[in-house]
Amino acid sequence: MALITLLIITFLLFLLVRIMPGNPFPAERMSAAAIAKKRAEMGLDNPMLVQFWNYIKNLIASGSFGNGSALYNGAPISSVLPVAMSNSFRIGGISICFGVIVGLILGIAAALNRGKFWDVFCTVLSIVGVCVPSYVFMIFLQYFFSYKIPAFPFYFDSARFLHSAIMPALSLSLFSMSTVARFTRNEMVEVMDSDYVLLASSKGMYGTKLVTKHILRNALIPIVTVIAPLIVDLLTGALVVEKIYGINGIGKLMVDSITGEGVDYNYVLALGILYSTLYIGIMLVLDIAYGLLDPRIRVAGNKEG
Amino acid sequence: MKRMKAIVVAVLALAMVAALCACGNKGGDTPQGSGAADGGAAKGMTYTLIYGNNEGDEVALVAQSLKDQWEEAFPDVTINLQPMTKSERLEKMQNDNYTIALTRWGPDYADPMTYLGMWVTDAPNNYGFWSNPEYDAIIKSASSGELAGDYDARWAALYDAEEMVMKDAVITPLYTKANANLIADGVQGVEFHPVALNRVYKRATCPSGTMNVMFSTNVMSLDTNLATDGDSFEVIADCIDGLTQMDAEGAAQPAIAESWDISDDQMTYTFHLRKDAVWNNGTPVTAKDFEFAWKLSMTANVEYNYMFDNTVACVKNADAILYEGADPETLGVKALDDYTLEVQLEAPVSFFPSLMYFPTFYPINQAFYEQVGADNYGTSPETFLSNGAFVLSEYTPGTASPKVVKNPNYYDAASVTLNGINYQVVDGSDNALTAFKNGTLDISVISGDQVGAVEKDATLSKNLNVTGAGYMWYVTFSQTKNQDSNGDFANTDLRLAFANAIDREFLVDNYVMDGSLPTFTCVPPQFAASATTGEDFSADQSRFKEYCDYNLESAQAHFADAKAALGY
Amino acid sequence: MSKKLKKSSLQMAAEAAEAYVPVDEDFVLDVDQDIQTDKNYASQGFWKGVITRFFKNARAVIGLVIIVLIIILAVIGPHTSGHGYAEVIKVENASGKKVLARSIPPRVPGLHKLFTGEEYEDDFAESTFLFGTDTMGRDLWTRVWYGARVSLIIAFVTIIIDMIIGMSYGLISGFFGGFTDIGMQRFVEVANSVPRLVIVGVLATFMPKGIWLVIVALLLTEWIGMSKIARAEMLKIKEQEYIMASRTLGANNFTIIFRDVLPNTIGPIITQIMFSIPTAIFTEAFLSFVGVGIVLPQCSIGSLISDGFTNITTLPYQILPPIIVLALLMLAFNFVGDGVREALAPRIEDM
Repeated sequence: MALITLLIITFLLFLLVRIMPGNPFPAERMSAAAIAKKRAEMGLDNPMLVQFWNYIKNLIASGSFGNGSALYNGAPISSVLPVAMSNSFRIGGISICFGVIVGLILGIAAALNRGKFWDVFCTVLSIVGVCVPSYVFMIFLQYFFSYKIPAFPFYFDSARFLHSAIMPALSLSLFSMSTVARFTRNEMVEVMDSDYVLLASSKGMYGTKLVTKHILRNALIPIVTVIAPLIVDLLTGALVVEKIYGINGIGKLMVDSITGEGVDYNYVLALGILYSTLYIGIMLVLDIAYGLLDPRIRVAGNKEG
Repeated sequence: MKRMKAIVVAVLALAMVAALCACGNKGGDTPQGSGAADGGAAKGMTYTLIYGNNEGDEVALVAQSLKDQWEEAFPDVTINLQPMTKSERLEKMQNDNYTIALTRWGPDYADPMTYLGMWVTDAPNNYGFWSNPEYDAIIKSASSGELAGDYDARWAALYDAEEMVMKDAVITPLYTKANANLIADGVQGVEFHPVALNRVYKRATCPSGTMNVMFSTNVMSLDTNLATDGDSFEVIADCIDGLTQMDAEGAAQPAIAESWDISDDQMTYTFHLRKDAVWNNGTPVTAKDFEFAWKLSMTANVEYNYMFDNTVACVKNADAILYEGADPETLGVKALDDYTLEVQLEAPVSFFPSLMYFPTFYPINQAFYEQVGADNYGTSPETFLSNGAFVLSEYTPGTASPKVVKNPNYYDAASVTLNGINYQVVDGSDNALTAFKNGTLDISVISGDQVGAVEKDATLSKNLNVTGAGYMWYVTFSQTKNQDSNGDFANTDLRLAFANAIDREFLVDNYVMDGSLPTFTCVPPQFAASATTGEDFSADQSRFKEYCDYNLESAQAHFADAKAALGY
Repeated sequence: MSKKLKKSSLQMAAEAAEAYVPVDEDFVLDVDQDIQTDKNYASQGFWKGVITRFFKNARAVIGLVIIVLIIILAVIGPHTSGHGYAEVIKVENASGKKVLARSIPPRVPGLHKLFTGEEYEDDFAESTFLFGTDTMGRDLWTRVWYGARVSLIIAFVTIIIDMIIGMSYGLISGFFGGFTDIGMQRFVEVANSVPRLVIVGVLATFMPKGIWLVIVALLLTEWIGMSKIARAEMLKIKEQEYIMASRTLGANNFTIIFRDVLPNTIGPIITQIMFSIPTAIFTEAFLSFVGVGIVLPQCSIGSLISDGFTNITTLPYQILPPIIVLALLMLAFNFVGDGVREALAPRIEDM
């Protein structure tokens, strides 16, 4: 099922990218004849279905996304994509871990101390996090911690990965952190007011066990729903932050392949496929995670299936 | 209860719609940004100006100012702005699907022909689709015909040709771009060139030994055949030496070629190559490497192989190979032995030695190229060979920070003092300024308000160094009737009116701000010097001022004529 | 009830063993404090309760006030400074040179004189620019409120249309279930997987860039969240008894979906709307940032931010007003969203 969806997505992208304005061969100095020749070389004159068939055949047979046309002057995508993926995934990964963990802790602390300092702190943070775009935060970090106090490199340096990944990861995590914190708090509060928690506590259960076993587990279900799209977004790169900090990542590659020298069909396709694979994959994982967290869904699911 | 619900929903919906209408009535009245000129504007003189939104911060300002100036000068005219990516803009222009475009052109070689060649009938860059047989004849004769050999007569004929373009206002020049460089204390000897290569570091020194230099775009390719942008050329030129190199003034000096002989008819060049030049894998650089690279360029269907044809280098048979499908082996280049390269031309080319420092004419080692494969050549330090002052040490396509280090095997290694160069792609002038102040960059390029801020700063202003960037921004009008244009700009008076209504000094002082030069000639100044006198082709900017100077009276007069002729 | 009552006159009468004539005093409740009784309220409609609860929530009210204020400023703000949003302010100075009011920091000459005792010494000494001017030489006060207006129009139009599309889609998908649901959900996956930049790019071939392009682009992507909520609600509601009752009474699918279920999903939908409006403004800001948003010289909050961003450390006053307006809007809509949600699903302790 997922594969068919992917195939449809690929075909749709394949069509759309060819409708987009912009030349796949940005050549100011080429005569019309030379451009026509180049189009023929790339197989762009064939009927759409033939082109698509060739593309899929190539993708499956050799596992390659082909060469670019405009971006990096036709360099093979296999020489560009892995580097970009590794940069974006690592920075995105750090920022997700950081955001989710800190967000969860803050949310729990806020829910357990309702109306007290942690609650107010969590509320303020989640508002700031949602209201301030990550790139603005990035600029602030860059200005204060690279320029005023030179603690971190001013630009991304792959030789010192961890050192230079901290600022972008931090700025990207702000949004997920505040979303998670806010959701955790609200869900926890809701669960804590529920009858079964009242029952559990009246049976003498208290402290950590009550929080982890009864409250958190039930509160996590909706939180997982919120985290999933955040993960996809963060893994696929935050283009403005990547641009500002000079990170060679997926988000920047996407923008470059559409608004750069020309519209590079193969790059857009490769990135689109990557994105939808991630999206569909994470949604699958999400379904499984639901089952693990909530036995009711597992049972109900079995009954229906 | 149910009724209550319905009422509340209705009230909510109504409130939203009301809020919207309140805004919409006043806000939505100008959906396409007609701006100031209301009232009697709608008589059909509405034109769209397209410009690139990824071509520098000042471009949007310039476009808006043009709209403003034109609408102020001609109350009947409405200009709509359409921003788009550079590639979309070029596509629209090439397909003749625009009315007015803000565009730019940088010189590929040090001769006025790099501009004048653009307005020949059916040239790929003749976006106005203007045609003048007399003009075509002059250009043809000057590039490969009888005028080619007589350098002074050719120069004079090119002025005539330029006047035809200016008189018809085929294009309207705006300004010649400059780079406002910030150079760190102690950095010396970096050469800035407006043609082909931006910066040359062979003779540069830097206190820390390794220089940190700003790039504004990614390096797109290190394959000399495929590279098209200045930043790529710069890295290539760090790593590869051609037959000749540029000195500080931009004149051709020996590099791989120790010397060259020119035949009496100036149509045969014999280059004598130095014997101590090696690639960094140990193989010597030979004349064969040049022959291979040049012939490869003939077959590769790449953008810059036009440099070989009869409009530029006039290499023998290049036209026949490129446009008539002749055998690439017949190209007029031949390695007589390992260290002698003979090039035959179709016509005398006064600037031929200076062409040789353009990357398209650089050598490629055949064995290495075939070993790594055409697809992978130049995509990493391992797949790239260097014979120049520096060796590539860190690069993947798309990286924001390519690095080169000193080449110990360079034939002239003794005179290279830099240990290496770290490039860094910087997004935006503001960031470039902060990074420079931070010490992260030794050379950065700023523009707009950052230049203003630096000029006010007593210490930073000492680091400011304005150099010519070469390319000229200009406005071109589609003279045909097309999907987007009603063909009004076929009227020369209308074009002249628009040309005369632009205050270029105002534009440059207020919006470009980086020391760019207001330009009144369609060949910009500062890049093309005469082969005989050494005089800059466009040093005299007043030559065609009557056609494009800021003169509202003349603009109104032309506009009135155009309006009458077009029946508005 | 545990209170000890005084000996009543009735008891006294019984003790006296003679016919008792009640006196007025007998009918007075004779306790020294209120006895606990159930209070009876007039029956209150659901929505009235929601509104009451909403207005009891201080944060929600603050949010609402901010939104109303910004809307008012967005409507009248651009007309208060005397400069048009596209008007480039320039004067000819004494020496006959055209001078542009570009990049002037915020100034109010009167206040400046009051506090420093000095006057501005340039060609715009008398002019007031509350937010300063931009790099083009236009009044930022006008532009910020004009931009807020454009952003709000974009947000409201997209959200209302998205609500209609997304809700119908989600309800239908959830109601029919089975293959219809699977098919429709796969379509959502497909639609969600096309990058926004591609959608905008393709749209740009069919229509000119500008407000409407942004709105259509947002329409094509923002309905998905709405449809998911609507579908989840439908799955919850369709098992309830009253739906079955309605079906038994012969209601057709259309009636059930749009008459019986729809009104009951309105709560979560309103909450979702409140959270979607900031998202729409934010997305528009993103599109402007990548250069496919509003067409100059028009502006939106997003395009003002991306303009100001080019000079963020050199001329920080240019980016502050739009960012603050954006932050306030996001804050306010979040407050109102929270308030609506809490008002719709009150917890016991709040009542």
